[in-house]
Amino acid sequence: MKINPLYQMVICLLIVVVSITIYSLYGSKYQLAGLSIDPPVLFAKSKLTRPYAKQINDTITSQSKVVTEQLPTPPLAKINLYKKPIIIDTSQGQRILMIGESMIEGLYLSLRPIAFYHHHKLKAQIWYGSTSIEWSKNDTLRKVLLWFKPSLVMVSIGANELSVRDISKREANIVNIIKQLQGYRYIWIGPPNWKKDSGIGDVLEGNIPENQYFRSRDLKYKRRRDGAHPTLASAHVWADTLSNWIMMKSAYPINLIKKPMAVKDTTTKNLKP
Amino acid sequence: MEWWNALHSLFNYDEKSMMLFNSGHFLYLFSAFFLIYAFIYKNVTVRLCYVIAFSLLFYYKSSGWYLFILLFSVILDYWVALVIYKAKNRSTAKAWLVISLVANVGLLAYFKYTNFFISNFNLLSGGDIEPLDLFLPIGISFYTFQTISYVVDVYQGKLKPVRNILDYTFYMTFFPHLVAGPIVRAKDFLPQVRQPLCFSTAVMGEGLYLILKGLVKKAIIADYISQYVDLVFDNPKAYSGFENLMAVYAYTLQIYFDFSGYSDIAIGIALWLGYRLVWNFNRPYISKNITEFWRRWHISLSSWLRDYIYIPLGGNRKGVGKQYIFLMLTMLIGGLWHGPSWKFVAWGGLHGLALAIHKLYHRYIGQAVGNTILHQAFGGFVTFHWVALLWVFFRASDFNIASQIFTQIFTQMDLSFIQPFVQVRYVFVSVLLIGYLFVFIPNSWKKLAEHISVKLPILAKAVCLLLVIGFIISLTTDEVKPFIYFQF
Repeated sequence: MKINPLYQMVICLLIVVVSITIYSLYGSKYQLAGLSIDPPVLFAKSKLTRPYAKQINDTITSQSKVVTEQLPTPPLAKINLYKKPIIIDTSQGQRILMIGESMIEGLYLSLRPIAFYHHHKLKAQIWYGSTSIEWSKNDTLRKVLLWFKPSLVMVSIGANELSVRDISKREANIVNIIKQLQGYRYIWIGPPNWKKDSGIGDVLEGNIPENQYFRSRDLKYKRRRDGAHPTLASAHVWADTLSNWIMMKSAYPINLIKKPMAVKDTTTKNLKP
Repeated sequence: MEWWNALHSLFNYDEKSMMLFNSGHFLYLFSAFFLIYAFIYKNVTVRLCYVIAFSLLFYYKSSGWYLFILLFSVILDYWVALVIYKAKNRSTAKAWLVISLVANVGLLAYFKYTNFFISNFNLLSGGDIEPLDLFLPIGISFYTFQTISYVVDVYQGKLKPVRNILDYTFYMTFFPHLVAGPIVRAKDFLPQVRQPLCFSTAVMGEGLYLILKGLVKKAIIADYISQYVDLVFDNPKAYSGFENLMAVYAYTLQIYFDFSGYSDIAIGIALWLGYRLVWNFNRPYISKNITEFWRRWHISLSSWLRDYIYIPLGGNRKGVGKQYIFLMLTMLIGGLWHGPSWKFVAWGGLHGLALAIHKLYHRYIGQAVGNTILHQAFGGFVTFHWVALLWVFFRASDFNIASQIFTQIFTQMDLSFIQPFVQVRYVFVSVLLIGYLFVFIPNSWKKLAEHISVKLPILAKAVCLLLVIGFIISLTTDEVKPFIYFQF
């Protein structure tokens, strides 16, 4: 008996809908060609930004002003046809230690799923409100390095020193921290300036090699209510950009590529301060 | 309770949960709609009312109570077209035409361009007028152009107005093309409205093929590569020239697959309902020159601009110099149609410039140079890259970002990034290559795939659809990405 093609398509669609419904309600995750397929999320939300909503600027306080620093345009460079290519260390199980002040928090949450995917061990030692003084004068850094034995250290110190006046003393502290890191592979994550700093950024850039210093102040951030800390969404972008820089431009390129398909972060726990 | 909430969410308007072709909401609602449609389609009036009701629900899910703006346009232009047709003299007809144009363009301008005018006024005068908190009704640019084409065609005597408001409402609100085109002309669609519908295996198979193709293009390839594009376009300076160039190539593919994917799904669904919409894309990236590109890209819009702006202005009838002015004006309007921003105007203007240069070239040099394969290949290469670079204005949030992208590409190019890039982003590179392979494969291969989908038995068709939909909703991110052209 030949069925009307329209009814054939209706039957086809019904089979699909029923199958998907049953699988979403009762199915469990399974592996297909190395990919982990979760039961589908029915009725997922879509995000369409309202293009003309009023600008509500509640993330930047009235005192602080974001000053965008214009980088000089580099001269027209020759196309570099042959340069020693970067070789990324794609081995799993790196031991990554993140140390610094509260800016680490958002980065840590964003990097956790990436580290998990590559079987890297990621630890964060956050000292809220700390500056280069605390990290230089105390032996916290030395103890943590001895305990964890990291293959890569990510340092984030400087965000609480944007307005300091004793810049030469801070420089001495920074030099001391770098000495403590001798023998360890480290990269320094510059502060994500929300205002023009009094020189800490230049001090850091002057003392740390270019391929070990990540210039966070070039990026744009949406800030939390304190006007300083990036929102979690901004921290994700910051972490993505940082990961790409580590892989492509840093002195210690390790594999930090995101999971190829969906990144469903079900393993993140909020840190308690 | 959970079932009740789920059912409630299917019919309720949620600003953050609009109905898209690749969403779970649409799958369920359309399945139920299609099931009932299969039993009532033979009765014309019931069919029209039923599809209109579903279309209005579809639009309500996307834009809430702005649905009434759509209905206002429909009722106004249905009535104005009748008045124009019955008008005793030309000047009365013209007056009514002007009223219709002012109303429709006025609505579009209000919702889309008010804040653009305010910000420019503030810039020029140093004023401090607050922008309005306006929500852009989805698809307003598309259905406004559609209704204008109808009224103008009636005025010019090319078309008789419909007598039944149901027919006109059906034409205007038909959900497959309502929110993101194609911009369907009344002369192409209205004759189909009351025709007896005939569902053949070939047509249903073609519809299935188009829907599958559209879903793969949009929900798998375009959405996946957009993740990398978003990263780079957020902070171009943080990436090398090579990475910026890859983002440009990726966006070139993304916008084509996103938009053509939507058009494919729209045309496929329309075929399942017994109606044929116009093709909107014809392999634009194989174009050998910019003029050919505009005959292959967003065909419904480019032909609308040609017929309702370029030709009425004068076209090529008022001399060569004026032809180029009219061409540039048309492209500037086309650019502005895409968005209330100077970067879209710049995009349109640069395309207009390229079109003018090509016309000049064709007039004075083209004949002498000839049309060898090398010439065609070179033309294709230049056209593709010109189009790709201009998409930067489309995607960048402002001129500053666009200039950063160009600066990185032209001053920070370093080919040593190729190897590590491919090493860590091998999935992205593979998806990009597969995408471009789809773009350039011969039409005959696509016809073969279509032929296969027609011949498949019901169960095999269900399995294919199931695999694609299951793959999409399991492997994409938790939030459904809207179609790029929804913002227009």
